[in-house]
Amino acid sequence: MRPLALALIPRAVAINLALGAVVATLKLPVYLDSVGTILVGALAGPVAGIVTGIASNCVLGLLSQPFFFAFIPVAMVIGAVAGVAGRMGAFRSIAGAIPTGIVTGILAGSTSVPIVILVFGGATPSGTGIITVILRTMHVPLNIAATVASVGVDIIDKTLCSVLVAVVLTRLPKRLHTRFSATPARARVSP
Amino acid sequence: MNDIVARLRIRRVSYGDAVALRDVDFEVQAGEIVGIAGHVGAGKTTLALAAAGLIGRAMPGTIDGTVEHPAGGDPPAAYVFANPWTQLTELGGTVEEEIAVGPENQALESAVIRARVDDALRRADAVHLATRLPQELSGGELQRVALASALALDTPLLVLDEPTAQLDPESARAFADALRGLSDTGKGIILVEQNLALVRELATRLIVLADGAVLADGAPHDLLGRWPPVDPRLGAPADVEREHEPALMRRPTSGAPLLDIAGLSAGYRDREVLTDLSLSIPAGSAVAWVGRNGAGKSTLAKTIMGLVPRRAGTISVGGIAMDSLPTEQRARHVGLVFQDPSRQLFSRSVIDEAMFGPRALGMGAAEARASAREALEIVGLSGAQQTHPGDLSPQAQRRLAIAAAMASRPMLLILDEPTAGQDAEGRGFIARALEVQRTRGAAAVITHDLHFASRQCDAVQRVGSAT
Amino acid sequence: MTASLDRWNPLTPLAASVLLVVLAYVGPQPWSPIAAVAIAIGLALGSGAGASVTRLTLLVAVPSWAFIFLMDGVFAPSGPRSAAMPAAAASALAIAIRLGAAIAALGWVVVGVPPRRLTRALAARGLPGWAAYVIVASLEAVPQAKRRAEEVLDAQRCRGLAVQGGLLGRARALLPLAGPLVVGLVTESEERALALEARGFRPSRPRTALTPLSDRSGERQLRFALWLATMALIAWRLFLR
Repeated sequence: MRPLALALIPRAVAINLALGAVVATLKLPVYLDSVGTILVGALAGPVAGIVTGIASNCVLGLLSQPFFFAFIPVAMVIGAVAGVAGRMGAFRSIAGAIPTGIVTGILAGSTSVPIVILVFGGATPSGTGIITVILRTMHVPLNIAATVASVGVDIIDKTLCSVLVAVVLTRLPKRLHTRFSATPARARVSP
Repeated sequence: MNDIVARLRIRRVSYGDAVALRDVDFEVQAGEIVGIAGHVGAGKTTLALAAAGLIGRAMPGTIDGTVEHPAGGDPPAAYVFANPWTQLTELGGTVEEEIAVGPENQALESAVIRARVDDALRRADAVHLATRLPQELSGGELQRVALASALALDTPLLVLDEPTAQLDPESARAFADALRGLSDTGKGIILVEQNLALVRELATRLIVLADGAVLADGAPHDLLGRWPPVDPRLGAPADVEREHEPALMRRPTSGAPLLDIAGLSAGYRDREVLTDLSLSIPAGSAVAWVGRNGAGKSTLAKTIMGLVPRRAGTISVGGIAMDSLPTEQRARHVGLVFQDPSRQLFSRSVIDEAMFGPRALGMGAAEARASAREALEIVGLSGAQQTHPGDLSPQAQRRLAIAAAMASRPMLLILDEPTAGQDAEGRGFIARALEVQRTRGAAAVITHDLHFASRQCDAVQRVGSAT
Repeated sequence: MTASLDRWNPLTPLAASVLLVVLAYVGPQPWSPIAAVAIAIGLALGSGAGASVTRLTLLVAVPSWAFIFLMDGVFAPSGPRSAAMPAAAASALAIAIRLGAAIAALGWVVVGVPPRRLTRALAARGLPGWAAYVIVASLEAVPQAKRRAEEVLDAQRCRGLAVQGGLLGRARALLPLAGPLVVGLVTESEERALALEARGFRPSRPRTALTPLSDRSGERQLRFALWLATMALIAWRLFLR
């Protein structure tokens, strides 16, 4: 991994966690806890995105609640999708970021369903879990309730994350853009 | 002992299409301290990075020419950066673990690492910090940790890139004391410094850069003793300037108070920082707030803005009581510019950034644009209106933050350490901002730069206890 | 508070924790998870972290039990029949206890072993330098980023940004607050990369340590036994049952 991408990843993990505090200050009804992961995917590609996802959930597992370890695969999917989409230039505009966010949401939500069912019996202690329970009271089968809740919440949240990443990328200095997009630089030293 | 530790034969260093440095040709001998000075943007850091062998690796760029390290070493050079906080590798927990990171990367045995760490701690005057955590330390202490970390690599060449730029005068002096002891270690040292008095004292040879090329090369006392200075943008050491240009007359400071603070106590939940403070600033004047680190100068500014809880006393600005207003209302009357502009810049262009405050406070678009343009003109950024703020130098970013505050036309402007890292040209723009602000109300400058305070401010007010 | 875990190589409690998680999920039900949660809480009490580990465990296990019981019992498709209630409560309890055992076992290590020490131990066993860096530096970066977010908030409020009011206004304040935070941290990574390089760090080069972690006598054998037991449990589940 290139040094710049490597040094960015811890900052991105911190963005994932610190934006939660910003959202809380503004009392906005969103998580926005994948902005850092998506940002790294967009800037440095899928491998760096996947590493950011793993690191992010490990740090959450170490600092707040071990159950985040169970969702490492979901975070990996988010980083991978953002990395592939970034290579395709999806974050150059909001118009590209919205479908990317929707796809990310669908894939991330679907990845979390088997984890939620196998490890947590269908509903995690979270807002998504409450939606699952409500759907169950309407006699929706468990698989479908868990899927609808996870995918629904993730589509909204990951779309917002992707749009925010696209907007922030336009705010990055040009110098940094070229630095991330450049192929690994070699000093051309001539005698 | 006359070994060469670095030999630079550089025709050109470029980042993409931009050429940052041309035609630099010199050698660093063991035991020598080569000083590098120059205006902001002269190419000093590029030269330092190139000499350390870092260009083309972590820092993409192209060197046309050669950089050789005949004395070897892996890495060939150790480097101390300007920012005390961002040069920690984060791989170590305590200070001594952080210092050990270099030798650990060199895959040395633990006994050797131990010896290197202890030696480095001693040389950098940081033995008492060994078991502390870096996040508990001041900038000055951290810079000595950075120096120790560099020394622990035991490289023949040591490159210091404005190591005192972010330190207060006492910490800068302590750092200089640690540097003085290094000349007998047989290392070759490259010292990039904005503090001209310091580089004059320490360097055995001085190279002055201007616009990416060598302007002068010679004895430090000769080059920095000249008047007019070798480069007006660079300026001269404070004593030389004082000798040739007597201080400005202090203005009468007896107008009606624009800022009036009476019996103010303020602080955080567990800690009172300001106790029974009373002071006032007359309209039409600019005052300097001085005091040792931690005396409460920044806390005073934040209390005026309502960011730190007030326990007793009153604050009024232009006759308006601040005490019950939320921060964003106080912003109509007071502009506070923090030390670090990166905490506030987020727009795509300099002009948008300068318009953000006025627009947030409800000014119409046309009026905000006019006011922003005027403010940018004052700080010398007229030509950069469409530039991305992140592509400006840190010094220009700081001036942009000042312009962004002035664009809202507050009665009182408070600047926190505005001259840190600025060259003579930058200090001139900040003096001009104070000049304009006097006509709009008054200004307060939190500063350690007593030379600037004595020349550009009308009065000096000591904040905090005298202990 | 965690003095008793400090004496061990962090890999030993980690191995014990993994064994307990595996025991809870693949061992004979329902007694294995009950035993696992009891052992994990017991170990946590022994290392002085009983209260925090119990809290972590209950925070997950209790709401999970409630949610599952609500879904399968109270709001079951067949309607809330009182006869089915005890069975639903019991099966929800089984899932909650398994979950609680996993949380308690991992929580014992997470609370009791400083993450930096754990990473160092893993690095000594072949975790690549770049991976160790990512974990350790992330743990450092989180509190710094939170402080930075507060500084950004202060700076923008001083420019007149309102953070209260209608939903639309608050949503509009997101960019001025998130923008400097994200841009600032991306910019900072440039300096961090340079600093790493300047100290001779190469992502895949093996590193040594100032104070290498040591094993107590018999600790290696204990760890081997723990891994062996874990493997045996999994084998039993796969082939013998």
